[in-house]
Amino acid sequence: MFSSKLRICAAVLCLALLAGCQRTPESAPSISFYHWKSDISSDSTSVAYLDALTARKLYVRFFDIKWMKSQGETYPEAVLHSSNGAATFPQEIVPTIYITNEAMRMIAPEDIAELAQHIKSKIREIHDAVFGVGHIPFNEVQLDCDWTKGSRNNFFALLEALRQRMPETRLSCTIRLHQFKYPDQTGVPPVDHGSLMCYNMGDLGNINEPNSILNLENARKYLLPNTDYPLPLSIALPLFSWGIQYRSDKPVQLINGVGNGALSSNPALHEIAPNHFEVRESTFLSGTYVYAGDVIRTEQVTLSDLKALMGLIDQSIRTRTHEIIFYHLDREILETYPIHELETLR
Amino acid sequence: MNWKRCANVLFIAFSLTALQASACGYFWDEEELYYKFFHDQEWFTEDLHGLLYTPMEPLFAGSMYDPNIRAWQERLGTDLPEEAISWAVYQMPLEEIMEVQRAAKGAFDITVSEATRTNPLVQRWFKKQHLDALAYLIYAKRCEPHCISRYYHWSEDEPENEQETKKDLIVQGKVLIESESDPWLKGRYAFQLVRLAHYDDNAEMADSFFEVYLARATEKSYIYYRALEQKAGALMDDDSPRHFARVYHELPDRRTECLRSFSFTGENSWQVSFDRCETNEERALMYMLRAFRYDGYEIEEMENIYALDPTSHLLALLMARQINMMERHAFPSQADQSLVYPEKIGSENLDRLLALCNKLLDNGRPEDQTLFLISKACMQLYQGEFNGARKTLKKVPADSPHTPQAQLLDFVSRIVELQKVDKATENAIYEEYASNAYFKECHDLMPLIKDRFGALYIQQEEFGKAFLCHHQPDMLEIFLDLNVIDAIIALQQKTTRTHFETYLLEGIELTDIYELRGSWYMQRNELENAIAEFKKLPTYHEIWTIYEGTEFMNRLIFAENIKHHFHTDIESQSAELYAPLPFTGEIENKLDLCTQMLALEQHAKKNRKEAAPIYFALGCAWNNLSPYGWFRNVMYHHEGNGYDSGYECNGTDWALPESFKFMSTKYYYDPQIAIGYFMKAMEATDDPELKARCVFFAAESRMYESPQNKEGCWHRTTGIEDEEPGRYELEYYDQLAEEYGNTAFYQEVLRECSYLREYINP
Repeated sequence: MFSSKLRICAAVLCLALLAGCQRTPESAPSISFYHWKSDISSDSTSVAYLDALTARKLYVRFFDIKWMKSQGETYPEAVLHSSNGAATFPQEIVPTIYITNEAMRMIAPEDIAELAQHIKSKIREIHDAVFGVGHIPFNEVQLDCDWTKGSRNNFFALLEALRQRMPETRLSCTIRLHQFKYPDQTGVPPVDHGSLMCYNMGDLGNINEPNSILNLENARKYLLPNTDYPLPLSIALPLFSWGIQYRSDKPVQLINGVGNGALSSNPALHEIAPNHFEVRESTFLSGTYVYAGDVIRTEQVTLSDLKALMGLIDQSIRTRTHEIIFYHLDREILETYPIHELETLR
Repeated sequence: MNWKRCANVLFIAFSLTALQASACGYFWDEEELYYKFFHDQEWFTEDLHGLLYTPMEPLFAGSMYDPNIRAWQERLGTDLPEEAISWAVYQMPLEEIMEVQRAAKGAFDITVSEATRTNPLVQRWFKKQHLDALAYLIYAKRCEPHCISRYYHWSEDEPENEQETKKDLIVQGKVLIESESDPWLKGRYAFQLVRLAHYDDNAEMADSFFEVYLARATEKSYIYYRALEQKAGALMDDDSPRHFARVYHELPDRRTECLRSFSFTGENSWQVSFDRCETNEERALMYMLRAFRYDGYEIEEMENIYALDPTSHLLALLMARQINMMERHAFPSQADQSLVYPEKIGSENLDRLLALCNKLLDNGRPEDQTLFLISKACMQLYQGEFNGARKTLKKVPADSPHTPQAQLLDFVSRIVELQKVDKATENAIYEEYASNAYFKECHDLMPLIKDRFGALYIQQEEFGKAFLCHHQPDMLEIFLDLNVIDAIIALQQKTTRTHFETYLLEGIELTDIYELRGSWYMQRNELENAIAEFKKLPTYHEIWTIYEGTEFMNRLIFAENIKHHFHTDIESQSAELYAPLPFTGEIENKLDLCTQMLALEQHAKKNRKEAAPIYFALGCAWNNLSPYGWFRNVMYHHEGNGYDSGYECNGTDWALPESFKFMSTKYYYDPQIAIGYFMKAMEATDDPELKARCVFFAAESRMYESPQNKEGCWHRTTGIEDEEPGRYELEYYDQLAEEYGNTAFYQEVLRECSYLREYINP
């Protein structure tokens, strides 16, 4: 039996051969990926996968910015590193920074310029350390913040401050669906383009939620036909699965990388309903200790859901760029979504 | 009587109590207010109190005393204030403490701050006392800047020569520790060495320092555990979790760090670490730390600990935490309903804990038996098994120091079980409460009695007492209701009252009630009735609340005021129109006011030619007396005259079923009274200027009907922002523009009122 890695390599090889015979139409969207782990390495599987999809960019989460209550200041957390030497990708790297809403809400306006300077320095420092000084220089920086009314002014001021300090670099940021639907209320960030996050659209904490990652019914409420958002928008699509741990019907935490397959074969768990597994014996699950009586509800995204979502997006967003960004690059996910299937989403 | 002030004091007092966890007092946890009758702190020493408070990660250090400073105090002398030691240890800069050392050696030209110079500990150093401690603190302060993690900082760059400096400090430390003969200070130097080695990324050296200088210590001191934590952090090996668990338990000030450091990547790493534990107590601590993680399930970990050792001292602590958590759900304050258990707290958890509690009563540590009995009784109480709870409580030995706690819970069980309340019950419950000092110290007990009684009084349709149970007396001003007022008057006039009724009526005077009754009639323009009530007041009865000196009633009540949407300046009231009116006397109180209003109306009825300005002035008066008018505190006592106090929207009375509409908290305000006068004024005049005025102020009356409308216009000093104009006033604005657009008043008001301006020219 082929190992999963071999299967992927075979698929990549076939696709590469096909790609050699058939040019991608000019109008077809380009494909990019988010990389959202702290450790990045250019393993051959990921590189081959990206190459086969002719991925253009890799949006790499460089670090998070959080708020340190005790000190009353921001700090970087989960800083990107490479445990296997310099990571080399032929794709353009887009440093991506996640900023908590709390950090943007709490920071004093007079400290924003300094934060922008920190971000600029940290990005350069990480880029050189992780990808090597000789790597393709980055041309774009993306900020990811679920800004609210209380943090909007600071976040937008930070974007302006970054632009001043990095005038040659394109600036983008993520846009949530509610921000897309209500630009008048939520404001439009001062960036060159946005990445519309077409996922996390349900009630994660509700044990009866069908799928909080991609809920088409909810998506329809936000993706109204022929919407003119004031920014060009790339489309960020979900390629991930997770389990939500519940205790007494209340959510405890997310368990990443948990799928129905692994849970079905775990003798400590019992499937009590589709995508719902009860823990019969306390055990570790992907490094998380779960207790007897807990329920794990899984969520994953199917290709048909993604296609339906793309149909909604096509009808809705009139300011689309020709870029689809998949969230996120992960070896286990690559096994779940064969390349030829993702190609159909272009 | 100043009920308002009294209520404010009570509010602040309750706020403080609520925010501070205390043995007895409202608890405010996760935005949930609840009664606290399980007095957990009776059972545990101060250093463990922090573990009892929170249902989330238990990180608090309890009373937040600093065990490090306590240790220093024991060393240097208990007569030294903790603050003085704390300043010297934590805050005094290195440069200053070195100057102090120079002074101790005889130098006179030292430069130190006043805080340092006057510090009692420094004074002793000047006298050459505790110089060994001074030398140690200098070394510690030199080490401190080199023992910080750069991971959470923006710059990862280390200061120049950082590595060499650390190594130098380690060398110096080794010399100092070898030359130090005092074991206490030797331990401190050892801690510095372990810590320096840790931050020098030299785990082996950190381990070695710990083993050489601290491991064999017979008495485990504060600094021993601090060093153990550093060693565990440096090694991060299979032994580290049990060390973190131990330090977590021993040092309240290191709980946050230790719990966060207590981590596993999977089953193997947990099992390996668990297998490294040398004693059952270490294993139990491992379970406890796993329970305390945000995803931990404490009841199962308690079962694990019980399986290891039923007599573990940790089980009492964990049991108390669980009862605390359940109490939060079981006793939400203002419990107007019969308590419904166990749905609120999850029967499965309660059953499971109760089963464990029963086992502990059989096999647990003997000294914890009373706690387990009380815990069991609490759970029975939360389940609604009141008889069972009382039977359990009877097993608490009469000579136990926790007998008062048992009596309290017994009393609580009888209160929440009540299905009706009669005179005998009122007397019995109140007398039992009043005669028990422990009960009276429990600030939650009387509120619970009032909550429960109040709910029963509503069922029994005794609304006056229900109201007084659920509200402070000053709330009568807010929920001005004739039925309640009359019920309270009847209660006041009863010849024989129960003790509880007397308690409820404390501080309430009949004169205040008559005043409120008069205000109730006044709000409805039933002036004869209002006058009759005000006449019952023996002397001039000034309105209760005094704001900014404008509370005194006068004829300005009859003035118009275009600007008063936008300015609180009383001078903006226009006296032009009302001044010539046929007033018959001064207006100094509500009796005067009602008398004048009645007289003016009667005059207008009799003198048609003079009627228009009088009706207009009466309309203006009703606007000014409305809940949002300048003189709102005349009839709406609770409303201040501050800039933005006029549009607070009331909630609803939580305690009352929908059927009791009369106690709704909505203001009673009838805009038709003012509008009626403006319309009468319009009918009585041909003057377009006066008609224009009437139409404009009729719009204002409609606006006052809704707080939202008022809120919408209150801030309109610079124009409309987000809100749309209220719908009620629109018809009058249209009429004003269409029929009276040529008047001077229209031009004036258009200039002054941005709200109207925005409406006319959006």
